[in-house]
Amino acid sequence: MKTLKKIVFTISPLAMAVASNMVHATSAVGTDNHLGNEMNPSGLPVLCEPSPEGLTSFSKDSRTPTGLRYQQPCLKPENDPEGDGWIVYGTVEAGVTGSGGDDKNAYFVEYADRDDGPIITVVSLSARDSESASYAEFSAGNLGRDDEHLEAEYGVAGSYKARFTYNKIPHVYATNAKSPYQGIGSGNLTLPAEIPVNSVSNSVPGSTEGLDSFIDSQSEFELSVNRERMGLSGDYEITEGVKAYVDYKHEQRDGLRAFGGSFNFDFLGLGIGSVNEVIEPIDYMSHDITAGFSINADRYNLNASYTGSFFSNRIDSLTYENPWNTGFGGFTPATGQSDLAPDNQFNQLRLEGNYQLPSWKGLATFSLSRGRMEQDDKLLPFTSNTGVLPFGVNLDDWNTTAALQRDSAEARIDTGVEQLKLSFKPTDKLGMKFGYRHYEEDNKTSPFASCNQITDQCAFVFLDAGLAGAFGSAALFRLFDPDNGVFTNFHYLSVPWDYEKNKYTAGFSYLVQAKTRLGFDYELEKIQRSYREVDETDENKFRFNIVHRDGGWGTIRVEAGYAERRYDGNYNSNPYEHFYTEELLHDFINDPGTAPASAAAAQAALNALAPHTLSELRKSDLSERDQMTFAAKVNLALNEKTDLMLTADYKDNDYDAAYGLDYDKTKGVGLEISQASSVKSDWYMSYYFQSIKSSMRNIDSTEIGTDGSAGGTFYPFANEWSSGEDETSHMIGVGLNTQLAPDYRLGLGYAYGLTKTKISYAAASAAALAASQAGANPVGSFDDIRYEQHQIELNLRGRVTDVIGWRMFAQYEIGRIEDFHYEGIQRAENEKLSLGTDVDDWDAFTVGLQAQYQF
Amino acid sequence: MLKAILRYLICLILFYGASVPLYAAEENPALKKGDWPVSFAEFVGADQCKGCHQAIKGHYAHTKHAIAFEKNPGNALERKNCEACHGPGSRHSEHPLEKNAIVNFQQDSDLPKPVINGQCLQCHDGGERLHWDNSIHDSNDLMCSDCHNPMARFSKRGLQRTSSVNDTCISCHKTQEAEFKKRSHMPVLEGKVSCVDCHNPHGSSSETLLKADTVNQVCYNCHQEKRGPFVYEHAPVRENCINCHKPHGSNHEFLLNVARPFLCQSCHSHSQHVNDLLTAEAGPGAKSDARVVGRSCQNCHSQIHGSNHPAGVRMHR
Repeated sequence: MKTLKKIVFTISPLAMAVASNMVHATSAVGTDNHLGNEMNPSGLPVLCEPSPEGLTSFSKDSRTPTGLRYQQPCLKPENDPEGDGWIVYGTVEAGVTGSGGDDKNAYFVEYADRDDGPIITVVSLSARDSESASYAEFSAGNLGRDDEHLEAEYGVAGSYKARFTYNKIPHVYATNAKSPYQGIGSGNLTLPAEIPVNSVSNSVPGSTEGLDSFIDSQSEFELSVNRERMGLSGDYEITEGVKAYVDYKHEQRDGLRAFGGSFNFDFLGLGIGSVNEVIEPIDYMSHDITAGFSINADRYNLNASYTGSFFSNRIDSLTYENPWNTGFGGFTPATGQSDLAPDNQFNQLRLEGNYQLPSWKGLATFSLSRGRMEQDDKLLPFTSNTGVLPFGVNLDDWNTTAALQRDSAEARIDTGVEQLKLSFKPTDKLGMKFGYRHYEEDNKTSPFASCNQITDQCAFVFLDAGLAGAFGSAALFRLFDPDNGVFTNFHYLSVPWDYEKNKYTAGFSYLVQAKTRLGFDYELEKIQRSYREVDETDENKFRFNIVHRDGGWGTIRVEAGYAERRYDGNYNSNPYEHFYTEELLHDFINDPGTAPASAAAAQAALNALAPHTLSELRKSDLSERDQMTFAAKVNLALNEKTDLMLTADYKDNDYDAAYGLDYDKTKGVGLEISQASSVKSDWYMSYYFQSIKSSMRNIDSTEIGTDGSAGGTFYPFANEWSSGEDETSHMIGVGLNTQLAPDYRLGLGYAYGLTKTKISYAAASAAALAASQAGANPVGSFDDIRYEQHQIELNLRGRVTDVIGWRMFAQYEIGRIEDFHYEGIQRAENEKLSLGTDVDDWDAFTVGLQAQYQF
Repeated sequence: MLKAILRYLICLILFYGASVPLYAAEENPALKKGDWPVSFAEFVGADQCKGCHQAIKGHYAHTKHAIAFEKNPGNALERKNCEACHGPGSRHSEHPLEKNAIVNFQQDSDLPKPVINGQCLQCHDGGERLHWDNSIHDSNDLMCSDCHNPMARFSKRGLQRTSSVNDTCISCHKTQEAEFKKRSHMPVLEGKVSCVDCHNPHGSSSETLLKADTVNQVCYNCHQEKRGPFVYEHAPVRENCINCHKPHGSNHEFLLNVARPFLCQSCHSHSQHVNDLLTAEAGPGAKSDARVVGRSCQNCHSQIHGSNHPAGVRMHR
């Protein structure tokens, strides 16, 4: 009651202060703010006929303040606004489409349903009451297809509106997957009778071939995830200046994704594997809601909102049988089990507002938010397997949740923002701004220890003990049992990482001439992270920009920036001792309890610990960095009907890292020229070039000694290597939209894109190579990752009568894809099982013929 | 009680402020303050506008502005219809060719930005535009009419000047447009995601006009399964998705910044298998290595976004 009084007492003057301003257009809350599809991204009727008079009889080629020509509006029968009652107008387009060539290729159908058959391509209906401000709208596209969408809105302009949306988004990853597993799509993948569990191995002649031929006999299936999202939203003007709004989305995601379900891998080059690609079932459901109100008063604005997001996964875990047997005679897991995405929720309250200060046209803006991410899914046991490992560990003690420290995740992170911005305009020419923003994530999850409550041991049962079982190694099981003289250093305790970010900003702008503005901004960003290699990074950022707008020829915008990120104190390459059993070992040495004899051995183990990592390696999100940026956009009106746009971008990140990411640089230039040669005809040409380069260094470890520094016995210079990426992109676009004859309109477009990534490497010696690469050249490059696409699109629209027309549509694509990760991938080979999703080139087309009715 | 009164007074001061109104509800003060011709004009009524601007009339009639202003005006300003946005029209009516006799939102206007944008902000101040002041678009001197054209319906929503909000954005943001054409990309050019699903072009309280407090919170709007929190977290993943992913498009699968395994190896150099150099021969074939083939490191570390499995500290399960 006391709290309620406080709230009422605090809010009442606020409510009283609401003045007579308006609040309008809550338009972009949540997702699905625009609905379209690949065949018709705008979702509007294609190839409209431009209104011959344009928007005005006086100036047909008007431009935006920046200098881009405004489009001509479409000529529609509905442009006669006169009428009684409800005025209804719209377009319906329906017909058939068909695809051919490599029309099942994943890249061709990635986000589109290109099935053959009848289709309603566009529905666009509008209605408004001539007597009131009531209106209704309905639009839809590709009805009946996997990329269909529809939206309906009803409202009274200026008072309220309600909107319903339905949107399906396909995402196809591969259409050529094959697998021996049964139960695909469920949480339990089993092997068929032909492939018994643990039966396939390099050491069992013919077994791999048998697996391969069995997979070959299976049908191909699609790896894809389809989103189906339904939304309800609306806003209502409670009184002048006060508006409430809500946006709710319900989404269902279904499909299959490739997933790693390995048991072992061949990092020693011993010819063993058990690398297993399995199929993750996707059956997600989410509810997302944002609701709030906004107040717009004479001197202030206020927004208050609640955001809730509730996610549930109907399949909690994925269990998969293991076809492999390492053949070492030790333990081989029969199954693997992964914990899939947990049900989780996010709740957030936000309050933000601004207030006009009485002096210097000042404006104070604040934001406050408090949020919480949490999940408490039931935990799985350490393993799903049974049996006794060669070093005596009985998995029956580990395959039960009774062994866990706790039986559910109890994970939670609290978030918060506090922000204040002040801006002043002491003169018409001078602007000043100052700001402070604090963001924090407070991880409230209690650290989880990978220790067994039944056996009082700690261990890392990774890959379901596949690796430890194959080698019969307690060390590879990461067993930590000091009472019995077993010491392995491993990461046994989860790290509750969190961070907070404080940002201080200041800036000035000055209007040099009526339309020329200079701006300067400074920002200091301080990020404090818990349990990371550095306690705090400070980044000073400087930005200078100039904008010159000219009423005659166009606009120039240029921006240059420099930033330097530094960390406070030393870079500690191993801040994780507390989370490793190393810490427990210290405790044990100090208090060996009933096993004093083991203390000396424990000390010896401690002294012999391998380094955590290469001391001089700097993680790129933390390392010291100098950054230079440059961006320019120039819009030129070459003549009354022709626009030219030039863009340039440059970003150079130079990391102060002897090892780790050294640099990454991006530069891009673009040119676009467009012309509306008449109201009935326009064309454009564009070209964009981008270059991205990056480089990194590392040292292959020898596992000898305890010195983690570069050049030491563990990381000798002889094992140093570097790699670099050099990527170039060329994008070309040409398009024409013209009236061929009074009743025929043509739209023609060609788009070309090529991106090539070269990845090269060089090592100081062959000693840097992975064991599997023995004999390989330590200097060289991978085959380029290459993605090339030609796309030609044609639309021809004809008119039969004023209201009936037709549209012919054709899209032809040639695609070339090369990626060394997948090129020539085998489904069963050398103790590796994959879904065989090799990337394929494509030559494919979609054609369609639609009838249009416009009324 | 004293505290409560104090709180009440603070609220009063905060919300009422000084007595001098800086921003009236019905007129853009910047417009009245200037010495351009429109400042001295009088309202003449929409009928007079429509008398000359016949071509516009039909298109404008179907916009939400027209419907609201003509059929459901919320206040005196909205009743002025055309002149609510363009300012009083008497001077323009008398001297149609005189510059600045009316508020013109196009390139050839000489009126300063605060005047032109101020016309829109008479009604559209606050709400989603609360952070407009000094936002990146504001500081680059963009005007409302750079993106919007309220004189006709070119787009389904938002009175865009092009056929969709995506087209409006990419008409300037050519780098992003090119990235949307790369091998893995957000389906923006396919019409399935819009720029405003992630960004608020009118300003926001966070960086790069994001609609949420952080990059990750924006990503979680569609990728809720990655939100966790997990028992075992991956620090750079928790802090910022773009430590590993490009937000718009990439030549690598899953919008990755660089190819695996090098993406992982740029931060990890622990002992044993992590820091080995893998060569071109590690792809599918005789010397194939699971750290390169297919999903690379994620063949084993499949839960790279975080694991809820008790044996998930290395993101395997």
